[in-house]
Amino acid sequence: MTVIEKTYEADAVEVNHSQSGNHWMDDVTDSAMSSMKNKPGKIWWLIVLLLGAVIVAGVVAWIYQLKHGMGSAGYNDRSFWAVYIADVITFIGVSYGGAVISAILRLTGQSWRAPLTRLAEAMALVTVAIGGAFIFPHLGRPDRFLNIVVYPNFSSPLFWDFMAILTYTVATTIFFYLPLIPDMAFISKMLGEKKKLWQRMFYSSLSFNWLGNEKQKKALHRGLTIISLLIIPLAVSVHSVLSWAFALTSRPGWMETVFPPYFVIAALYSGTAMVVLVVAGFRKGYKLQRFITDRHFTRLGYLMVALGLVYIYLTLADLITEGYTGITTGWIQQTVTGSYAPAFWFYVFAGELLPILVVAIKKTRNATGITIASFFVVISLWVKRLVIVLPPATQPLIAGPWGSYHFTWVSITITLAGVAAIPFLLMIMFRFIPLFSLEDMEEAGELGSIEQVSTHTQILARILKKYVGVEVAAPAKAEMTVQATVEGE
Amino acid sequence: MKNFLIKSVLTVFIISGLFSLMSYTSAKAASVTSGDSTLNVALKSPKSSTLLLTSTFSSTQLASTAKSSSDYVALYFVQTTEFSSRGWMQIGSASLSASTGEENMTSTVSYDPTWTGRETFKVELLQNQNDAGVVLNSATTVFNVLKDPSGFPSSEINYQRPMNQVGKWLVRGLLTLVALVWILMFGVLGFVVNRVSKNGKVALND
Repeated sequence: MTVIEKTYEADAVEVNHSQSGNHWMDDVTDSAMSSMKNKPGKIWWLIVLLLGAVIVAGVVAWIYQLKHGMGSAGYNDRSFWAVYIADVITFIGVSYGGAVISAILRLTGQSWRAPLTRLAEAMALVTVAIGGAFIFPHLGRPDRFLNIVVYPNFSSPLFWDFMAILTYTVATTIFFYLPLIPDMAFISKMLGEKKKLWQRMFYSSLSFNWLGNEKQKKALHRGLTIISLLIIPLAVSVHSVLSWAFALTSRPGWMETVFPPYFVIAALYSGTAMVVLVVAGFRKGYKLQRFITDRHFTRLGYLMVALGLVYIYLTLADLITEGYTGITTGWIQQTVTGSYAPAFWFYVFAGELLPILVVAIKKTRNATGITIASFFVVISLWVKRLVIVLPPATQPLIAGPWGSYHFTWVSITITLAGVAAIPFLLMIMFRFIPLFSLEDMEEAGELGSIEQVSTHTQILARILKKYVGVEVAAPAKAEMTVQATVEGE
Repeated sequence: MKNFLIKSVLTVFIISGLFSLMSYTSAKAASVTSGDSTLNVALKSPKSSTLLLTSTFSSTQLASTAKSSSDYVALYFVQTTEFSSRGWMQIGSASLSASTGEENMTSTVSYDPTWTGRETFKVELLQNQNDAGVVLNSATTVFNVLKDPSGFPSSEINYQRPMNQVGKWLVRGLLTLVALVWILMFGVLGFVVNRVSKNGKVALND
């Protein structure tokens, strides 16, 4: 990385942003490249080594599980699905949140998204990979994984799960890569002739002669718009199909028509919270407070709470509808007042009431408050997934006692390894790519534009202009409309 | 680059072909059919909805290693559909009625159908002890199941199982949709990379 630092300083004058005398972009570039050009400090190494150790421990635990069977992870014939499937849903869910939020903000032309999208998209890519990897410990026999390709069963939702997750992963990768093209060109130019072979291979070849001319920008924007439009239904399909792995079984508590939207909203909710956590971590670590302000957190907080309200509505709709009939409702009793009640009520208080209070109270409605609330949302939504999985899985269908699941060091270590892999992979990834999309940041312009809050009318006007070609005059600010009305009176 | 692509596609085809060949060989080895056999399906009584499935096997064509009818077992199946795939679901098993040496050996099971319409039944004769899983003989037949046996003649009614045909087309539709999404994704990637690269080269040459 020393090489990068030296060449960066030597060649910086050749870069357009610096030549233009645009101090805003100079600052943006400095901050965006701070993860790459500065040598990692002791804290960075300490965190990476710690996280790496947890990941290695997870791999060791998985090898132990392969050797000793699923029983070593707490599984038994009365608890056949448990923590790993909850991990799969949680990790893929947060990925979905990152991708969809970035896609929606991009499509609606929200300029304040600019400092967030790269982090959100990287998080989406990393978490879908980790979530997908959790299928292997869940399977127990990873050697059978290939059977889903060699002997596909089109009747099984698991086959369609595989298809949906694979398609979504490819879409997320393309969605992550396209905005990187200008950045790759920038880094390639910045490194100049002193590039190492891998740098030449990586940056130069992936930038495809990007010069930033109008034709190239137009092609990139068009491609990004299509992928943004595509990734939203894809993400919805992934979580709907994932929910059908439960809902298409004849097990009470899983066979619920509400499951697809229930899973989709949970994914969006936890995904927004995860974006907040990732943004907060990198903001603190690389001192990005100038670009990522309290207002970004407030807006994400509003979005998170709105999704949380929809989610609790669906949770209650599920429990009340099923509970009212009184047929095979043992799982509801177990969830609300039985052995899973502490977990369920933890979700209600920490995952629903806490974020609402944090956003509602002005004093706590800031970056710190919303980050803490987001932390509890992510944790409690994982707990909620366990509550969805375990009570129905342990309910006896004919007669006999309830089954039970107990965590073991194996399942805990593997789950923690997945958690550790998110910051680990992100920290490594951002040693090679900028923290912001420079193209997006340039478009966003001055700090005022990044801070700007669009009214609904402005968003609608922007969408109509961009996609329908109709020009609608929208008021610049909501306050101005109010003022004009008062004057008119 | 072009050669590499062609080689990659050919490799994928060859690997898929090998997998298909392996699965075909193993399926063939599991099923051996020979000789005459019949499977008759009839109502237990004119007013009943229960079916009696009776199979008859020619004993002379069975394996000579078996000494009595208890060495054989007849397994009965009904063809089921789920979403798009078809498969045989076992509905019962029965031992054979006569000892080896007699002309025919028969067996019977009763079955209460859960669907109306044309149902395909199958019987398989297996040897109990040796070569477990090897089918010695089999027969299939189609029976039009009526919900109310005292109602219309079966020939005039053609009940359709709900969504029986939908699954077949739905799978094709879904696979086509997935293929289109993949084409769109890589099409967009290809479009952007091509345009960016082309315009970059032109601008550099200018």
